[in-house]
Amino acid sequence: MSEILHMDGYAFYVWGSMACFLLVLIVDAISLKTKKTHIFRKIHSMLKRKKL
Amino acid sequence: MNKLLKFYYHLGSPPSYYRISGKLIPWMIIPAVALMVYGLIDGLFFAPPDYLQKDSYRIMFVHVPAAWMSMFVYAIVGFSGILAFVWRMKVAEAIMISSAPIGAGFTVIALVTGMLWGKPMWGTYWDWDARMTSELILLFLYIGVMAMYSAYSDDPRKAARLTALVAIIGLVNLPIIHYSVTWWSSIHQGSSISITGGSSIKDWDMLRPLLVMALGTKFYYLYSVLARSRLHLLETEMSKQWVKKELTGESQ
Repeated sequence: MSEILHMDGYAFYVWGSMACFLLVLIVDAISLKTKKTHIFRKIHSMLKRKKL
Repeated sequence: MNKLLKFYYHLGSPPSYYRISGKLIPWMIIPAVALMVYGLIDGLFFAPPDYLQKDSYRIMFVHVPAAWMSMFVYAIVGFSGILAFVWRMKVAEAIMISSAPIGAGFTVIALVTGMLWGKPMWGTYWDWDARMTSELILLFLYIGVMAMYSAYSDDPRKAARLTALVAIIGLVNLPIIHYSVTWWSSIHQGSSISITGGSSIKDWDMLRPLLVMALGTKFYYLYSVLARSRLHLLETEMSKQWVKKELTGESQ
């Protein structure tokens, strides 16, 4: 297991790249979720105002 | 009118696009996650080490798909920019605007992982080499597209038209990135795989995770762009009746 993690001495570069890849995709997914919440709130409040 | 053309016209209408894309989203995210998990496990733990680069070559399994996606997504941005500029299609505007942050994300991955691969192989994180510089320009183009839209966000139609212009002009960078290693002397290697030239990676155990990751990132892009473009349409059309209809039956 430690041999796999060590990556023949390139652990920082290999695992750093994997971390960068996952981080960007996670940030993209979170920003999408945040945007969805924001837009839905905005539309719902607009619809409420129209009803009043 | 044939069925394909009818489907195309149908997709051009925001309410139809909203409904169709909503049905497609689960079919994109499930294979995206499955393929990327499989590809990463296969590439990191089962693919054999390279005879020259040893285990450092495993960066390829994220670097190459991300670099392909950075260019592929910009081609979509530029093409939808043309549709948005010439025919003023709202759905094309939505796809153009929604693709930009995803493409920028893939470009950041390609640049950072390229730097992390460059250090042990070339002895430097960065060189003002044609491939790296043109890829960095691609990131600036994505930022430019997003910034242009944000600058005029109070008038989305005008913002989309101006953004489309920037996106179309930026298309010129794509052949520059692709042929940069041929046109100029470069420390960056040539293409590992090309549609016409086949693959220089002969070991199927190395090629398989790369192709799986390439497919996984494509599915992820489709998921993200469909979800983002739906939100874009909701935001820009929020005063329209179809939005009200859709949302009364849709939970948050």
